[in-house]
Amino acid sequence: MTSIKHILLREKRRFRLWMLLLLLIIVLFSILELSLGSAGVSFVEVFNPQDDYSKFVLQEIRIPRLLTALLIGGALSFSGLVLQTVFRNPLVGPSVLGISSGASLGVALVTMAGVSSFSNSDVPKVFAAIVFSMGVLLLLFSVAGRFRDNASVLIVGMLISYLAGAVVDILIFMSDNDALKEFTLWGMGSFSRMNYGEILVVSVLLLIAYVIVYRNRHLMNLYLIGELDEVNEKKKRRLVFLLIIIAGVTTAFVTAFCGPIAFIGIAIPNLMRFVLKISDHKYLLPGTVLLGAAVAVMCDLLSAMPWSDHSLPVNAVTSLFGIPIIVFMIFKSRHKTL
Amino acid sequence: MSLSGENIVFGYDAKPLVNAFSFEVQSGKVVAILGLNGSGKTTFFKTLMGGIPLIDGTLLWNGKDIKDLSFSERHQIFSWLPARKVIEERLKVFEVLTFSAPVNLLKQEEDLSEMDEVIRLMGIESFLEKSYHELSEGQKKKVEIAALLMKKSSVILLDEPSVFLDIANQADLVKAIKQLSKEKGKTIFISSHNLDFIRSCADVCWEISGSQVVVNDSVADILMSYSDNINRDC
Repeated sequence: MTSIKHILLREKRRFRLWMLLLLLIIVLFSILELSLGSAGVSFVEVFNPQDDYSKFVLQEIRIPRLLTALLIGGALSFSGLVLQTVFRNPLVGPSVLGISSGASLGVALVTMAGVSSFSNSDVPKVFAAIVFSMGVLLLLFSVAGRFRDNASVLIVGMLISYLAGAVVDILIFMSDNDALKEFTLWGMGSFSRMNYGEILVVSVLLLIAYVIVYRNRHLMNLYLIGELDEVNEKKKRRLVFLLIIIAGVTTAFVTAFCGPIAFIGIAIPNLMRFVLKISDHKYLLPGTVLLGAAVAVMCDLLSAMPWSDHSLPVNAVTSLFGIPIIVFMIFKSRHKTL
Repeated sequence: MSLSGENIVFGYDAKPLVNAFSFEVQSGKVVAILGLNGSGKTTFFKTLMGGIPLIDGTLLWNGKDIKDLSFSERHQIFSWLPARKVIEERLKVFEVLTFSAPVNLLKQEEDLSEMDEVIRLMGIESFLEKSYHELSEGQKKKVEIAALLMKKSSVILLDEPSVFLDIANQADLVKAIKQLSKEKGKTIFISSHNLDFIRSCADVCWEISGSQVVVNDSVADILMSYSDNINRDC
């Protein structure tokens, strides 16, 4: 008979193997990300920059871009996993609660109102995106407090998303070409917009969010087996509230700095469950963050198209990568469910 | 070890379903609770688990008022299997079991062997690595009961445990309940409408009727009178 001990040991071994593999992939992609690009800094110079130009390209462009991709990929995947657990739905992602749409509305208002033309920095856009996405989160909770089930929260989030989208459409219709271009570029997503200070702020935020969620991993597992229903209703509502706030704040900051990055948040947790073949949050949480970081760097590498003088929007690449994964997993699953 | 109640009154929103009921149940006993739908069987379980406050009276575990127990202490003593449980369909069976077990138990060799013993007792070793959605309703019920036993609680509350089980599986469950109560000293409460199942495993019967509870050590007698009452009402 296969004993529980045997199964648990096997799962732990599989997890460790995958983590090792992912770390190697991240190192490999990171070296590629630092050495490829139109600026002409070679692979050798990554480890030993010869002149000021190479140092500048590495320190001011490529390293922040790599750190941003790692951070944002991990953060969005983490946020997606948390929301998929809360809503017990593998097709839920960070964009469904209307938080990304709130950020879009904030950025649309700033760009269309011409605030950004007074300043060369991205600060007004980032500030507006954070304020509006947090506003959406507060609105969501003020409404959702009246509902007992999570599905209603999801529906309210989607409705808020449509509402914000409608206002953005009106602003787009009324805007001039420059503002429209600025907003459209923001909406395409990019890992090139964060400086070291901003990376540090978002890293600390993600670390705090991760530690809080990881400490609740056992409760999240209990939530999946219905242990918090009925008699533990208060504990369940506290957990759901905490998880939605954490996923919401994480998504808000990421979207504010990098624009709405598509499909990473939905696809990566599913892919991690698929390779690990388990749903234990003790393994899924670190695994999802590492896989998200690796995939984001890979997508950024592809979007930069180092073989060409042109580059693609990151959003296009993440969608091209994420959508087939979801479709593949739906068909791969024996029962046609995720 | 014993569970006792002194003039307990329980129900929803301060509206009593049961009035002034006193009892004492020693460990190792199997108590069957009978009653029509809405009579208060599940409400009694929820009250024990702390999901619904007791309206009046005192519930004692080994002479200690259970309202003085912390949430986790209470959940170490009592564990409840509702009639319907929402379990994430994609989970593997072994995950349902390990998620149920207290975290510290999974680290000890001895406790892992005990988990294997429960798995054998419930006869679920052949589908440990299947996903929950691949199981039949009867298999799911057995897994849910096994998951409940992983908690190693002293008092087990089973709400309609025989639902979805065929005759053979019901017999296995009766055997498991007897083994748990007589050999492991567990106190087991069963709420069920399946009179044959109750006859096979209960030591004591409680019948909730019109906000009163009738306690009878003779299971056959109370089942006869309960069955007569239902037939008369129909």
